[in-house]
Amino acid sequence: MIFNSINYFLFLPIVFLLYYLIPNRFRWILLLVSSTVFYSIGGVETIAVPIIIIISTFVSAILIERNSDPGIKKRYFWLGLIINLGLLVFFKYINFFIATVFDGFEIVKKMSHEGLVNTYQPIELQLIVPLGISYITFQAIGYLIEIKRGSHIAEKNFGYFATYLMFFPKLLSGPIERAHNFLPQLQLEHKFDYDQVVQGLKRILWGLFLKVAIANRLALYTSAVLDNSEHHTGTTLLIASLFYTLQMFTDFSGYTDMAIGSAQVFGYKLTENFNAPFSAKSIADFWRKWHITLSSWVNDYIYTPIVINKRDWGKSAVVYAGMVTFLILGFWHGASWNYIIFGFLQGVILAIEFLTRKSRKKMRKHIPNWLNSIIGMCYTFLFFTFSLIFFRAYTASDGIYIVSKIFTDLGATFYMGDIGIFSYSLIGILIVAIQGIVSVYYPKFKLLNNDSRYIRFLTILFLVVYIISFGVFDGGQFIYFQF
Amino acid sequence: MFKLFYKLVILFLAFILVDFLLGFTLDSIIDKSPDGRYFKAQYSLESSKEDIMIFGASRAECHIAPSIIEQSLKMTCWNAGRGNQTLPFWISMAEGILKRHTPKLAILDIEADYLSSGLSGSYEPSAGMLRPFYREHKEIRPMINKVSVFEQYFNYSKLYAYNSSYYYLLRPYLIKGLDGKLEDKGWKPVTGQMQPDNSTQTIIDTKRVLNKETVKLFNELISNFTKKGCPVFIVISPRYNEIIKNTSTLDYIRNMKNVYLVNFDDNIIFSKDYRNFRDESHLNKEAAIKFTNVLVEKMIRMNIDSIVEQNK
Amino acid sequence: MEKSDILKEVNEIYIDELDNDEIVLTFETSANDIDEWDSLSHVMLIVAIEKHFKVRFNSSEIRGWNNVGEMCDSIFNHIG
Repeated sequence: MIFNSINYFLFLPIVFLLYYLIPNRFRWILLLVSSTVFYSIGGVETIAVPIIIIISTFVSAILIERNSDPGIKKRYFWLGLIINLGLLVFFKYINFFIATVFDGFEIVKKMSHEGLVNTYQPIELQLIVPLGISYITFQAIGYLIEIKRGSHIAEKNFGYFATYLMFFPKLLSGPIERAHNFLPQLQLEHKFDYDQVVQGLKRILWGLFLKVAIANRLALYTSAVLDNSEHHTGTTLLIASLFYTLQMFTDFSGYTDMAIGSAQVFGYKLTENFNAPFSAKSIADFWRKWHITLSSWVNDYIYTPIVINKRDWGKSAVVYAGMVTFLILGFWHGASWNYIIFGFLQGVILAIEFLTRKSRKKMRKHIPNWLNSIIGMCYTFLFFTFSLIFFRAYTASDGIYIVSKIFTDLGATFYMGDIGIFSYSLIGILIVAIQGIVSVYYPKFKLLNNDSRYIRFLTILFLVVYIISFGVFDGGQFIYFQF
Repeated sequence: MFKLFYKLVILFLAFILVDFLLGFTLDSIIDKSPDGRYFKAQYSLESSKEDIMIFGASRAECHIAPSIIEQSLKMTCWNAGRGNQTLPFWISMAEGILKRHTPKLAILDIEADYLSSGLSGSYEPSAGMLRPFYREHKEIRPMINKVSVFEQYFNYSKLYAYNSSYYYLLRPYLIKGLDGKLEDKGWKPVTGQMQPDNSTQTIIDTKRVLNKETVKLFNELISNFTKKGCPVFIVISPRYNEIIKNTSTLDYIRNMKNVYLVNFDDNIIFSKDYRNFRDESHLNKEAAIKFTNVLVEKMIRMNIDSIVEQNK
Repeated sequence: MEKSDILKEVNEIYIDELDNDEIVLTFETSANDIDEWDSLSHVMLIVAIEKHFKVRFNSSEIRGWNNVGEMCDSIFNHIG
């Protein structure tokens, strides 16, 4: 079930009413049951996968904790890890690996039998990728690592643990929640708190606005252009790529707002995933503000262990660990070379930023602060847009084609598509830009949380009217569901 | 909890009020529109009284000039064509028109393999254009309701019905005639000339399987006209560098009763010269006038008068 | 060596490594308080500290630090 579907707007109020009608001690059970229902609508054929992950992770965590022998601890840790990674790899990456290995064989064959063209096709398994598997496994793996390190106590209540991994507001695409942040909340008393519920509902409304009225709207234009890149000039591709960055942001942060808002309605607090990312002045800074729960996950469990381990290499350790981390982060998004290129580009730019830190600092001293900020923000936005071209492309060569067209063959004509659609896109971008600037620089003028109840009310009314008047309701999926 | 419900009810009531006020305004913007696509749709649905009605997507809208037909055939004519629309739209239109007026004949411009293409993605544009008329026109509801089961509830909201329409709704007030001038009676000629290219001629001679859903709706559309005694002429407009030999769609149409496939053998006269085209699929204004004249001649040769007479 | 002396020397290393003369560390200072102290420079700081005090931390020690004070405790335990 997706958040911007009618089904969700029938589902959420029902769960909400039941939740506050039943006694507190049963509420987590309702959340578990409704999360299972939520998963089943759209993914019932793969429900066994999260169940296996939950059971195996739950059991191995307890076994790790119970045994004092580090060797046995390690064995149980690896058992849990391999089940998680195995399922993830099997469902998400197996076809990619088969195809890659097959291509490798082909190359070898071609080299040895010059001229013999083989017509075998690689086997492709028809698999349904289980919903949210990347998110569920990452949370489960993080939990196992913490248990092994001894920094958390293993959860003994199976129901609680299942609710942690299945909690529907974050089930499909995060935030990637840490166990120590979520599990204690299950045992709190969740009284109906009017202010919290209203805040949550406002957040859902804002997320819906970002998704339906902005992201879906931008998608009409970006798909029309980027799916037919051979028919468009470099200028058009450039504009569409810039739009795509904004589409990605409004799509994913809109989803996240709806996720966090939905959790808040039940009295749960999820981790923020975005912190005004386009105010970042470097890519390193950007990744601390963009998809925060993923970047902090890879930071804690991939980057830091590697960099600490290899620290004798000095600066090379940082470059190496950063590269490995971002390659994995790219690959996490999907089994295809364009995501690997996306990760690789982040790794490269991060290394460059890291190695030029001191010289850039000296340079900055000669430039006024405000100009520094603007240059930094533009650079970050443009680089991220550049890397997203590969992210968006269906194949790596498609991405290279678009990039080369933008850089070598800009062309004078610009395709606007339907002027109606284009102008609504611009209005949407304007609203989001103003909102972003206001929330960072003039937080007092926030409309949705204004001091005046009338302004708050009118803002809500405006958002509802805007969504209904300009929303694109084709049930378009959130971009980040596929990962 | 009570406070929350109370606030939500207030919000809902405020929305209904805004929806009513804005809806009323939007309705009168259409009613007073000097021209434009919504004006055209409304005119076709509610006021058209012409003897000959033209239907079809952008190629119908651009290629067939009613004033030429009127002069030659001495019958009134209206081009109801609308770009990017297919069967769901024409069925809704036909229902709306035939409920109050039966034309003497209908002209439908289609592609040579029209019945082989599926309809996925064609309900949405149709609904997008017609939702403003949903509440007042029962007969167009079934096709809109095919978009989703919720349409029947959502269309209580005028703001929903007018979703994304504002640009085309207001444009005629600022610039007139962009979607066809009034005196052109629904015709929307395009100007300009395509670049010559060296592409080789395409010969359309396919046996693509007919799409069941498309055929079903096509039959529904045609029989709406024919059972009221309105014969249907099917026109295949020329495309640049394309010769039509035969398709399964054409075979199917030849076997239909009271449906007359206008001969397209001489499309080649138009199709081989790039100067006739604005782009590969649209004749420019000058060529459209020539094309309409050729079309009228052919219809006269087909004994159009006696066909109309027979069906009366 | 007293812990306050350790802090002073660590402070010097921070100024040097992070190229910022204005850094004044306290035991409570954490990465949130200093812009330049992020996961990229963190390891460079550790390497410099290890070199300076001629110590070798293990990775669970490093993971455990929440602020400069806890880091100084570790150093103290190693050299003390």
